[in-house]
Order: sequence, then structure tokens, then C-alpha cells
Amino acid sequence: MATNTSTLPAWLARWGSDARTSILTLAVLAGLPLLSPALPDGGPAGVLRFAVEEGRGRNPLWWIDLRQANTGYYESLMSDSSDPLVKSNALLSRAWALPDSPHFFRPHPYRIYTGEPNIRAAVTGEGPVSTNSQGLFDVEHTLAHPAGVRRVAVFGDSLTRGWGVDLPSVYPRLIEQELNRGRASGGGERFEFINFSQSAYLATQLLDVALASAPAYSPDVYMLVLSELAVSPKWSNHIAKLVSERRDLKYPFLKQIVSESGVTPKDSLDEANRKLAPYRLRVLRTIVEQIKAQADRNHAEFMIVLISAAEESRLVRLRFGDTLTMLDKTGVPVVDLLDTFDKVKDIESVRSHWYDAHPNAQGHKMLADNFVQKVRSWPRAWHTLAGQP
Amino acid sequence: MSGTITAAAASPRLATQAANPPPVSVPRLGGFLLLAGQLALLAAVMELFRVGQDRGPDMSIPYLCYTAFGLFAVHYWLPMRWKETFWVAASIGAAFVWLDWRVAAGLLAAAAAFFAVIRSPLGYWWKTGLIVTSFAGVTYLTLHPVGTRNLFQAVLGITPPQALWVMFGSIFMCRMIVYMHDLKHMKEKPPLLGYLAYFFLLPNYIFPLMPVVDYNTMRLGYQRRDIHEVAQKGIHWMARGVTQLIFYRIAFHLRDAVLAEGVHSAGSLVYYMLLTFLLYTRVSGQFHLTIGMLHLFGYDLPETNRKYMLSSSFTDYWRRVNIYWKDFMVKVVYFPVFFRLRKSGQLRAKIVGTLAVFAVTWALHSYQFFWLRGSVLLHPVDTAFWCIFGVLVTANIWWEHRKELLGKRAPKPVWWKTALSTAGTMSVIITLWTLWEAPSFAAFLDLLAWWS
Repeated sequence: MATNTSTLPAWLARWGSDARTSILTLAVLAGLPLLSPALPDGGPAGVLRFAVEEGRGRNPLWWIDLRQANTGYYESLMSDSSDPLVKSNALLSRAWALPDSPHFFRPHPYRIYTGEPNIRAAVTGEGPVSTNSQGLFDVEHTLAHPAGVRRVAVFGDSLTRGWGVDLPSVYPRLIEQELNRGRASGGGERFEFINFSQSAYLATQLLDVALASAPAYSPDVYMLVLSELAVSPKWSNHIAKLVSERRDLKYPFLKQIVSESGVTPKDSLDEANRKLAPYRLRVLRTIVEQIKAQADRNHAEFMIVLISAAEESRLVRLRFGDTLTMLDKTGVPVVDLLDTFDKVKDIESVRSHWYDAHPNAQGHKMLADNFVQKVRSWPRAWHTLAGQP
Repeated sequence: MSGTITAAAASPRLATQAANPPPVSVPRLGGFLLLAGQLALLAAVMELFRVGQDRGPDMSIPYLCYTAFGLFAVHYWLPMRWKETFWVAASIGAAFVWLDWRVAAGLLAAAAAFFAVIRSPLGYWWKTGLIVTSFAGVTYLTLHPVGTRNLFQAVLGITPPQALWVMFGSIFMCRMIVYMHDLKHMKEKPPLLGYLAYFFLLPNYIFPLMPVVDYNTMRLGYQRRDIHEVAQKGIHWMARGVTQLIFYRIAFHLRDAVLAEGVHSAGSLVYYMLLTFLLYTRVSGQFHLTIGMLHLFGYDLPETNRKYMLSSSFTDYWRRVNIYWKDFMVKVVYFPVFFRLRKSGQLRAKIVGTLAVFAVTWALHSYQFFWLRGSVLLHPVDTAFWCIFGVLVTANIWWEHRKELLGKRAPKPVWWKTALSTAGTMSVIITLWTLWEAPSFAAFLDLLAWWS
């Protein structure tokens, strides 16, 4: 900073230009987060406010990393792999190995991993974790279908599994409680929600849960919960992994798609995802059709729920884009909860951590309330869920 | 590349300083408070913006900074003869605190083994051969993880964590090349303290991707100027680095938003490409932060990146972005090739030297990727990027040489000509960077053909 120091006060001139520049820069940066809440939303001040909020991590990098592929030399080099064996940050690899973290998962030939039974861990890297005797992140459920109970099998990812919150606070559990509260006074079957959700499960993994695991519980309703993972560039990670590890693709339609796309075991994850990208809607549609067929065979109902994490809803809706149109055409009732966090001014207040857009207990309550309100006001959805008008 | 000859590791300023005794930095309370106050302000900014805390429960970057600031507060007041010993001890101690003890012990053992070879009475090429062989051995171990675990378990009763190989590569992969190059010209026996100070850099445990610090530059610049000036420069660069890391977050989110909306016009394509290029601020921000931090402890190192967005030619860009890499290549590749071929023609020597630099850069970037990510990077897009970049810089050098031969004086810079050449250069660089970021040529072409 070229400044005529003779015009500066003596005490300031004694500092070098580096000191003046540093202090000015740091003072401005320190002041901005304190001032920005008072700035209006529009105009240049609004742009500044946006920049400060983004600079503070309103849309945290970790969360964006979960759905975006890290391509490019430096982004690939500097981003932490989800593979615990490969950590570019050696300290992070130590930080994640918290002392009491048990293994939450056991191997599965098709799904890659599934829940380890009987875990009771109060303190882990993701909050409290517990699984039942079947490895579900849920309370115990009998295989036999109790009389007078309407069983709802829920298939989702970590948002529905309840990453970062304890079991009683997870939204399927809250929905069950709310619906049963209504039933207690009005009569009718009691609801029982069975949560089959697993962290990072993609639609192709949820398909197998619905077809292979859920029928043992004789559910009355199959509820497929789709989040942004279904529409992100990483939606085909599971297929790519099956191919690269030469595992059995199991389902004929997947084998067909892999053959058509030309994905080979030698392809990198990014290249495999690129080749599979044009097949996203077709795969999702086929999954919906197959779960619907399964539900029909078992005289059960089927519904789809769309949920978002605690993040900017405009972008979430943009990402779902053509998927919404496709789902509408399947004839399956779709309960859209993407607007759950629309009106939340301070989005961090409903997150499990500021950098982690998984909803906290308050966020799960909002999801549950939104679901109940929408289903009760939509006769078709209510009929699907409750089996009665 | 010819302009970089004088910008090599040992600059005239440092060479002059090497011939003169260093000034004695007298600690003074006012000076210390000015520096400490700025560090406190920097810490406050890092807290307010949650810098470096983005990716999960990872407080490593803040811990690094607060530790460094605390060490500075002690280091500042120590007598000169104890300063570097304190710094080295703290750096090595931090490895045992922050990293798994097996990783820290492994790194120390590797450093000790290398130093034993370096200080041995063997000839230079025997030493080099042994070092290269040991690297090959470690490479073999990393490629056979199960066998390696069994071997370590059988011999030592412990299994090495994966992080050991990452940190081994991070610390030794490039700096050992520089050190061995400088060893050839060392007149006295290599000092242990200088060796340890060079390899065990505190920020390296948190930033596996470090700028390739030059050994000679580090030694020549150590405590050669008043610590207040050096530390102030370091704080200035740390502030710049933190600003760039904050900016990186904004660019990352904006780019994510473009991906959600889709590239549907020439304008959004240009916007997306610009944002992709600006992701480099993560690298330049971290480099400013790490080198600035070393300044606090008296290491008067040069700048890592200098206003690269204002490059007016491809050679200018090469000289401004990741300057440490450029100096590393000039020292280890360009000079040896140039001086060997100079007698057969200056231009030929420059062109071959430049092409050699880019060939080695391509190879070493793949080598670096292997050490830090555990997989070899041999991707046609990456190869194409370095080939194209190398050809552009070589063509630029030919053009500059031709103008020199024609006796054309450098014209007085005209602002609009400079602006045009900067815009043109950066347009090409940004396009090239977008190619480098794409997972394949097909994906890059898909992006460019937004109308389809």
C-alpha cells in the first residue's frame, strides 16, 4: 500500500504499510459478521450481507462435498476421502477415530454395508447412535404383524435415519406419535413406523431394503423417502462401486443399464458417474415401479416423500427439477416436504451443527409437523397412509 | 522462463545478506504488543468466520494457528541461540500431540535414517541412490497394505496407520529432492538443526499440501532481518491467506448454485469457468497462511503467489502462481538443462529447458497425488493440461527471445494494451483450468456446448 506517510499521524506512520494493511483488513473482516445482521436483504448491502453469510459457511463445504463430485487436481487432492483408509489430513484421521466409536456397520454383498445390531453409543462423531437387534436404527419391532396396527416401512438415508439426534427425536417416530395421538381419541388402527433407513443409502440400496428386508415385517405401507442424494451427481456411486468391485448387480434392470452405459471396473468413480448420469431418471423410475409392484403383491400401499436437509430450499428444489415431473407421472402419491425450512431465517438453528445440514431435533419436529399437516389435508395421501378415508 | 533466472532460490538480496552479519533483533514490548495484537485480531477473524472448520468436527486449522501464535509469544522473548532449537522441538513435539504417536515416531525414524545416510562418508551418488531406494521401498509398502501391516506387526508388534505414508510423502516427497540438490553444493557437513527445521515444519501436519520450501532460501533468510519486519510480513500474508480462504467458501457455494441452476447460456458458462478457476484461492490461501506462519519464527521466505489474476502473458502467469514450484523447477530442472545446452544455442536451451520443466512438473504432480491420495494419477485430461500449458509457455518464451534478437526495446507499457493482454491470457488460463477440473474430455466438451 503506497501511502505518503508524512500525512499520517506519527504513531501510525511508525508502523509499516504491511501493519496498516493487515490491521485494516482484519478489522474490517472482524466487523463484518457483527454488522451484517443489520444489513438489508436487497441492493449492494444485501450482496455484502450474502457474502458475509456465505463466508461464514451458511452453505458449508462439507455438506456440498457430500453431493458434489470433487474433480479437478487440487480439489481431489485436498478434499478428504470418505474412505477412512485414505485421509489427506492426517490429523483428521485421528480426530475421527473417537475413543468409543464402535463399528456401526457390517458388510453386505449388494448394499455394501448394513447396520450392526445392538449398538448403544452415547458419544460418537455423529451424535448418539443406537440400533436394534436387527441392525435397524430404530426401536425393537416384532417380525409378526400385530393385530390392530398399521405398519409403515420407511426407507431413507441419514436424514431419515436421524443422524445427530437421538431415537425419540427422529421424524418418523414423531409422525407415529402424532398420528397415534389423533387415533387415541378417534379410534382406528394404531400406527407403527419401522425405520429401515441407513446413512448414505442411495436409491439403488433402498430398493433392496424394500424388496429383500421389509417384507418380513409385512408392512401395510411402503414409504420411500428421497433426499438430494437421489438427484446429486453422486446418485450412482453405489452402482459404480458394485461394478468396480465386481459385485453382483442383482437386479436385471441394473445389469442392463450398466451394459448400455459402458461402465467398466477400470473406470474411476467420477468417470463411472459421468457415464451413468443420463440414466438417473430411468433408474429412479424403475426403482419406484419395482417397489410399487412389491407393495401391490403384498397388498400394501406405496407412497413417496421428498425431504431436504436444512439448507437453501431454492437450490434444493432446482436440483430436484425433472425428478418431480417424473415422479408425478408414476401415479404414486408424492408428499413434498422440500418447503419445510423455507421460512426459517436462521437456518443454523435447525441444523445438528453449523457445518452439517442434517436437521437437529427441532428440524425433525418441523419435518414431522409438515408431513402430518400435508397428509391430513390431502385425501389421497391420507388414504394411502391410513388405509381409510 | 528467461526472466526467472534471476528469480531463482538465492536472490541478490539474500546473497548480500549472507555476506553480512545479521542484525540483532532486540525484543521490545511495544513491538511485541503490536504483533500479538494483530495475531489476536487474526484469531478473532478465524473464529468469527469459522475458518478451516468446514469439514466435520475438524478443528485442526484453528488449533494450528492458536498453537503457532502461542509459540510465537514464547519464541519472541527467547535469546537468539535458543530460538531455532525451541522451534524445532516444538514442531517435533506437535507431531506427537496432533498425530497418532506411531505416525510421529515413524516420521522421526525416517528422518533419522535419512540423516544418517546424508552425514555418512559415502559419496554423493551413493547417498542419492540409497535415498531413492528407500523411497522405492516405502512406495512398495504403501502399495501392499496388508503385507505391510503383517510385516510391521511381526517385526515391531505395531501396525502403521495409513496416515504415516501420507505424512511421509507430504514431508519428504519434494523437500528431499531440494535438500539432496543443495547437499551437492554444501561446503560443510549438513547441520542437524537446519535439517530438522527444514523437514519438520509445524504447519505441514495440518496441510499435507505444502509449498516446496527451498532449503537454501530458508537458511539464508533465517533471522537475517529484524524480526519485527519479518513477523509483520508474515501476519500480512496470513491475513491475506485467511481472506482468500473465506473467499474460497463463497466461490465454492456460488459454483454449486450454478450447477443446480445448470449452465444454460454463454454468460453462465463464463461465470462457472471463472468460479472454477477461483477455487485455486484455497491453495493460495493455505500457502499464504503457512508461509506467513513461518515468518513469525524468523524464516524470511518469499511470497508463494503474487497477483496471478493480473498475468499479462503465459510466462508471467507461470512466474506469479505457485512461485515456490516455479523456483523448484528452475533450480532442479531448468538450470541443469539450460546450462548443458547453452553452447548449442540460447533459444534451443531455453525451449528444451522449458519443455523439460513441464514434463517433470506433470510427473511430479502425479507423484505428489500418489503420496497424498494413495493412487497414481495418470489421466489424459491432466496430461493434456500440462502439455497445453507447457506449449503456451514455450511459445511465449520463443516470442520473447525473438523480440530480444530483433533488438526491440520493451515499449512503455500502455494501460489498455496491458489490460487486453491480461484479459486474453486469463481467458485462456481459465479455459485451461476448466479442462483440468473436468473428469474427462467428454465432460469438458459437454460443458462448453451448453446449448445442447
